[in-house]
Amino acid sequence: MKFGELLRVASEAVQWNRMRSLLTILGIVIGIAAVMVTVGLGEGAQAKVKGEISALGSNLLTISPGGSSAATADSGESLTERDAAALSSHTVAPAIGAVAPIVQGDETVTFGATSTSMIVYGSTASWLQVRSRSIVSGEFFSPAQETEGANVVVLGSEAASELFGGRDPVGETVTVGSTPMTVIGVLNSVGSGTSPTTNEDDLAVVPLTTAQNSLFGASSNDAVDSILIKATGSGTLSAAYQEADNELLMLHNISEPADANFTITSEQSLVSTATSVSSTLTALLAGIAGVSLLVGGIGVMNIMLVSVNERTREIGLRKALGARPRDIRLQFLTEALLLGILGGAIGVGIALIAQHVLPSLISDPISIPAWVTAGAIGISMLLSVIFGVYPATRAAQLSPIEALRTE
Amino acid sequence: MAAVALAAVEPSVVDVIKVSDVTKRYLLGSVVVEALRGVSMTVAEGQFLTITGPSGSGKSTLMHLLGCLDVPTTGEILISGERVDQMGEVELASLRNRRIGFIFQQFNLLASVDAVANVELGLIYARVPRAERRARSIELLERIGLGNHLRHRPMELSGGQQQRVAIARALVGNPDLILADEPTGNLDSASAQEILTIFDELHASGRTVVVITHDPEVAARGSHTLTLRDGRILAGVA
Repeated sequence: MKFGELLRVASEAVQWNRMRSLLTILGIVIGIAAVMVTVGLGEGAQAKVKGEISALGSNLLTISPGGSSAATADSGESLTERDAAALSSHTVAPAIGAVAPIVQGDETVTFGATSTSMIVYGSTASWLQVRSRSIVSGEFFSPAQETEGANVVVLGSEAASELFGGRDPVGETVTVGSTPMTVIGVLNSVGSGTSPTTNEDDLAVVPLTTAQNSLFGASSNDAVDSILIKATGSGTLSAAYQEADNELLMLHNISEPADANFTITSEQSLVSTATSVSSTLTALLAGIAGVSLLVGGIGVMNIMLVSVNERTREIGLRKALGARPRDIRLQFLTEALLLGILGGAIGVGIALIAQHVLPSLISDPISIPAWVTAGAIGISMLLSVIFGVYPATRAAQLSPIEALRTE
Repeated sequence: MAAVALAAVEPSVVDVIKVSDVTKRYLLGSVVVEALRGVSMTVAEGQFLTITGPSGSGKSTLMHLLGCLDVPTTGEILISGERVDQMGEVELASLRNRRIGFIFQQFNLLASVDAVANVELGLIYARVPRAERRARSIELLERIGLGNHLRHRPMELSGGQQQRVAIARALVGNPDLILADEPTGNLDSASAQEILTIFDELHASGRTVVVITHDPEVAARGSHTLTLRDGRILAGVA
């Protein structure tokens, strides 16, 4: 029998038992879709993490307002300059090397006829150290300039080139919001990373006092948007975390750590946890998905055996009409293969749809590489053929007399 | 009734069937059953032979051997001069495909495909191209009076119509031997008469037909009759 003929006979059989065919391939459909989405989640998480690492300062902790519980999640302006000052004390927090309170907002920065919108940070002189950044031209503002609220600004490299082209902007005057400020320095370039919302080169930094007085308006209790902490070393990161946590709980008069109205996150630990968790989880889920694929394959075998039993007379008839054992074997193998391809294709389809739909629901990126798609189809074909061999061989070995006698 | 005659069969000197001293034993559980105890017979080309006998006489076993669905324990069988008793499964399949057209009591049509696809089934294994298969099947179905039922599936046909599809299937490969096992056993008497008329026409056109039956009326239609009892030929041509 030619392959086209086999395929036609197989597709007739699959269509004749539409419902059963569908149920047969369900296991493969689910297995393939699960494996692909799992691998896609893993790949997506890896890519995201890689992007985040490159844009981070080292040994950094971020304190943001709002706790983790529902009652404290919306604590608003719970962090103040006083908190930042307290954490700066080496006696209170010996593991903390530097502290930078941050206020931030989007502002339009204008030079001559050119204007562009960027994130403007107001912070202290220690921002440079905390974010592990450096100055490539001019200088950063001094503690004195910070205290007096000097109208000075330090630009990110991309912001500088947008406004000034290739020229050195140091000494020029730009308008931030509606306030004229002197550019005193340009930051080193760190690359934009992967996230378009936090471009670490398209920004401006001004003294905290300046930001409060001239840009965002000072709040009554000197509230800040976040406080960045740099530990003295990578070994003291968790100590710095403890010290900041204890100090802030005390300052905010909170006795239960669970009631904290602030959240401390270590980006690096998050990243490493995310990486290890995601790879462990990926392996686990892929394992489970693999088992479900196996079960799907056994399902195909099961239904094929039932099908062989049910179609004993057909097999007998075909043999009487001249089908050789290998014709019968190929017929049932082709049927299994067709079921496998169908199951694989539907599974791939579901996974590719999930790739587009799921990320907006679970806020995790899914990236399914092409080799996974190709592999999934290949595996489902292989699986169905492997599990089709036994039923097909059974069918091929039926004696025509016995097969025709069956009622 | 439409004439079923195909092109007149060329006469040949070789007997279509030649059986010499054939025995068949098989195990039923732990009991050895002697189904055939030395049967010899010949069927010349153009004969319409009916084989009859009570149940347990070895009719079915003989039919399986004549149809090359099984091989004898001892003895020789030649189908159109080809020695089949020593053949393996693959050779037997090819021989059935080329030389024998089966008609069963249960019709044995595939429920999932239409009349044309049922008729052409054997030609697939003979590697006849699709267009030719279709043409031959449709022509045969039209001659046998099913021209309006080409696209009908078996469940949409009456018993008599189904058996006519099966006859077309048996004829389409132009076999040397038409072998029928109780062809009217599942039919009402009117349909049975129709089918028997077709057998008469096949005989008249020079085809070699062997019908196995326990129905005396059917047995009487043959040009030759042979009665089996206890695995031996009791009467008739030998």
